[in-house]
Amino acid sequence: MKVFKLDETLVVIVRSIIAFFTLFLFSRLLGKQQISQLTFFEYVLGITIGSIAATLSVDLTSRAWPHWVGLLVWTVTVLALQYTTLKSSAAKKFLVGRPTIIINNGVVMEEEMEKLRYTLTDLLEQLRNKSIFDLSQVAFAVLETNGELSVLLKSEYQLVSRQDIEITAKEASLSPQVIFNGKVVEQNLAYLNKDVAWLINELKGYGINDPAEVFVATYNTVTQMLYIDKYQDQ
Amino acid sequence: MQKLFYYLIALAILIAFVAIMNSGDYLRKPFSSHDNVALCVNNMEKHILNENWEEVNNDYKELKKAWGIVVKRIQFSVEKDEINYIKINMARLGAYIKVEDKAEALAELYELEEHWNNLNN
Repeated sequence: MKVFKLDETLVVIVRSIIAFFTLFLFSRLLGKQQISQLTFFEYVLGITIGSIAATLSVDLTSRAWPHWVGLLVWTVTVLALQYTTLKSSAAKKFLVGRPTIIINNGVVMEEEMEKLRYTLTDLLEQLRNKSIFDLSQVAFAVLETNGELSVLLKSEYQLVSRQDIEITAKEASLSPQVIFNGKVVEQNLAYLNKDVAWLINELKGYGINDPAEVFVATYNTVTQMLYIDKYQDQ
Repeated sequence: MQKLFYYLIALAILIAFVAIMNSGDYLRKPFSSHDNVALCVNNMEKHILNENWEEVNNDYKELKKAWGIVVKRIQFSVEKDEINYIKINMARLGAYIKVEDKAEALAELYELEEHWNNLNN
């Protein structure tokens, strides 16, 4: 006997929208760190928060509210930890750990590696990831708190820089977009102290009568040249 | 100013979500004479105790109707399990009313009432 029809799909849709936008807003709150910059703990926190959001979305056997509160508490806790580590270096050392020297002046620190349960295979693998296949080339290697290995090569193996051979280089510069998807980016033109009339005049020099013909155009502030890519590729 | 606007939008969205998730208690209250589940349960209890089965049958129809209306409103904020338990209680209650079994019908009604009270807990 059918007493009523519970529209399960509709409930999942509503709860998924709640979970999605809550997770989106909370993630924005937590900042812009990339996966590679996360410590192991932050990585696990991310997984836990994601898992709570997933349960909030599809686990209809419990109310959405407790899951949402869980999501809020985990997010606030992470925020509190982030704030604490920002303000106190002692707290940061305790909560995040500190970088460990794995190779010191060419000598592998086995005891430190053992404390971190970091094997020689791990070390060699991370060195290979940095295109270093010979352990003897390494002067210092530091295992960062996010698991990345920072390496300083012995001076004889380091790449030659412009400074070493005394070559002066042109100043590096940004190339702001002045046309994007056929539309003039007036904000960037103002930053360059230029205007639309100047741009249109420049475009004429390239045989372009309308900015709408241009897919993207950038302006190099050092060479003072436009880079133009039109919709119609020749 | 624009930043404040974005913050206000985000806050409004979060407040709306909290309201939806906690709307169960408010939305199960009657908005008309046809969706008063608690009243139907009380009436049915009295009529079962008096073994007035004709009235009990009418109450059962009213209860089914009221529950059908209320469940659509509260489904986003309550446990599906509690909804399912009430659904089972309703089915059993219907059977006990049909055979006019006072004890079982009353027991089922009390259990239904318990689930109704626990809907938003």
